[in-house]
Formats: sequence, C-alpha cells, structure tokens
Amino acid sequence: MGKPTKVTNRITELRTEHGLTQGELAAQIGVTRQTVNAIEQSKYSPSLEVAFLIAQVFGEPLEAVFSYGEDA
Amino acid sequence: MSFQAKSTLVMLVALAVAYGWYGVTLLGLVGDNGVAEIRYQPLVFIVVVPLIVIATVGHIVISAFNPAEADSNDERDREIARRGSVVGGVVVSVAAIGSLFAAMAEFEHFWIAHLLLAGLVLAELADGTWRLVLYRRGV
Repeated sequence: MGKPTKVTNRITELRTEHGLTQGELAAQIGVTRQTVNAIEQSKYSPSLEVAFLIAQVFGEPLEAVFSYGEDA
Repeated sequence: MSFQAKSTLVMLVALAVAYGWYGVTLLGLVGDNGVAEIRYQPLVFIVVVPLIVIATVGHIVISAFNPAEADSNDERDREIARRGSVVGGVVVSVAAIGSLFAAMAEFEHFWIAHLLLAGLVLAELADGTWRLVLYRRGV
C-alpha cells in the first residue's frame, strides 16, 4: 500500500542506535506503539509537538530526524 | 492493531449484529396489512440492548488481552476519529434530507422513521469502516 505522506524520517535508524523499542519511544513521547510504527512507515505525519518530542529523545535537531519529499 | 482500531472493529460488529437482528425481526412482522400495522416502536429500543451487550463484552475482551493499551488514545486516533466522523456526518445528512422529503411527500411514519434510523446506523458503519481503512492505509 502506498505511503500517504511525503514526510519521511530516520526514526527506525535512530531508535536502533539508541537501543529503544517502538513501545519505549512511544511511552516517552506520549503516543501508542502503533502510532510510532505508523510514523516510521510514513503512514502518519505527527504533529509538530510530537515531532519535536521525537527529535528531543534522540538529541537531534528536527531536520535531522524528519525530511520532506525525499526517501528516508 | 491499536486499542482504538480494535474498539472500532468491535463497534462495527455490534452494529452489524444488532441491526441485522432488527432487520430480520422487522421482516418477520410484515403482515398482509402493510407497514402501517407493524409495531416497530418497541424494537427500536430493544435493539439497543444487544448493541450495548456486544460492545461492552467486546471491549472487556480486547482490554483483557492488552490491559496496558486499554483506552489508549493519542493524536493519530483523534485525527482518524475526526475523519471518520466527517464521512458519517455526510451519510446522516443525506438520510435527514431524504427523511424530510419523505415527510413532505406524506410517506407512512414507518418509512420516515426507518429512513432516519437507517441513516444513523449507516453513518456509524461508514464512520467505523473509514476509520479502519485509515488505520490500515495511513493518514
């Protein structure tokens, strides 16, 4: 099935580097594990607030985690 | 599947079973004198009982399988719910307009009531189905 959003991200890669599961990341940013999974698969574009929270968890600037219109 | 997606599925099943039963029961009441003689009014209230029972039991079961996620609801769930409600709103509006025309054309009360009821049920079915599509396809 196609990806409904052009927002791509490096969350899977960064999560692996930080040794976090989807559930652990979800708990830290206050969403469900399924939402983290949907964001990783570009099936959901998070709100700006959640995007900032994700970047904050990884200690990266927003643009290092998310990009627009490019393949991750 | 998130808790809200499972909850939506439970509600779709509850609606399909309850109003399936309603439809079958109603057909059984159709006699020789036409729809004007059908005492459908008690059924409209009775059908709420299986609906509530199935929905409640279904929610208890899905919560028991994953208690940590029970009642979890985040921004993605809310966005999907909002989009589902838009679809449901269109369906119920069409049914309301249809009912208005049916009333102006002096249809039997039976048909006006059932056009409204069908609109409400179909709106919930459309809402839930669209939510499941969005959970699967993405938002």
